[in-house]
Amino acid sequence: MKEDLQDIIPNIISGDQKAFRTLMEQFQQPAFALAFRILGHEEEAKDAVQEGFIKIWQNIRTYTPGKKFSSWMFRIISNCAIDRLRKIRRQHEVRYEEVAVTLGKFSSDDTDTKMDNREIAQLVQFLARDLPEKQQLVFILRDIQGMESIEVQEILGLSENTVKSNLHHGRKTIRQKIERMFYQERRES
Amino acid sequence: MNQQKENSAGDALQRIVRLLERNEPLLADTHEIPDNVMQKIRELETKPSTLGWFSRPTNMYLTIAQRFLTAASVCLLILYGVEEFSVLKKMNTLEQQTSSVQIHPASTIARRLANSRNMATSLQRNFLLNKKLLIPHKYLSVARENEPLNTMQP
Repeated sequence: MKEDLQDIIPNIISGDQKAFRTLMEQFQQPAFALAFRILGHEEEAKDAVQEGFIKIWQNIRTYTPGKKFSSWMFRIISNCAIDRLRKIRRQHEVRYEEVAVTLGKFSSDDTDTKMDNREIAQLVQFLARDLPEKQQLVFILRDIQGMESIEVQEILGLSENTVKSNLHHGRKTIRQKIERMFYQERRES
Repeated sequence: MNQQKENSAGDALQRIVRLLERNEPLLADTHEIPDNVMQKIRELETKPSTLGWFSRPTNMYLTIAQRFLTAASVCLLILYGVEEFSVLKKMNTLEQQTSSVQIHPASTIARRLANSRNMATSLQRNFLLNKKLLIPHKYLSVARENEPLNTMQP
């Protein structure tokens, strides 16, 4: 893939739209997954990816060839997603009962059954809705997207310690939220 | 009890994270995004600029003229800056020189000398005046030889 990129990027810089389409086809799925996990909304994620790719086309000259292209691209896509996230912060609250129903359908060992986008969106919104922006992004990139700490640092422009502390606080907040819901559930039952 | 509660919350979180990690959101239509982006890019590239005809000169001479005028205006700006700097520098030097003259001890002596010269001049002038005044008295004294001289003093 890296060798292909080495050929594609100079063509894109010289204005080859076909080469850019090839690049988009190659990277649209991971870009969409990232945007979707940040936003928890399919249409918004598609819009963020489109916006991100337009920015990539316009700013491809600023990409340093020696650096990892995916990190540079993810940075642009995540920035577009963050901008949209700020606008759509007021998403409806997802209750734990709804999440429990979804969780009930999938056992942790079941690798064959796939969740659809609506169910993924529900879980993402449930986990990240109340978190501060930085904690949410670090948690999504590190825990859900499974990125290395160094890559998260590059994408978000944060130091190692900031990433660590945000991840710690993010996890803690989510755990406390689930605890509270368990407690409420027990009291009601 | 608390530990148990925490474990179950931790387990639930782990389970959700694992499920999300395993299930990547998928694009239903893989042509939609590239098509839309390409269309948008074409629109952006064919869109006329807000500056109108001036921003896309078709005439080569017009381009050269534009660049020449830009370069000339930059040169003028630099020249103005240099001139302004040199004038300010000269003014500063002059001011420093003036102030050093005022505070230098030699200047005090010079002022005193000048004052004393003035005094001498005024004395001399007074003397001459006196002399002039004396002259008619002299003539008078000559005319009136009998009168004592001290009565002729002013």
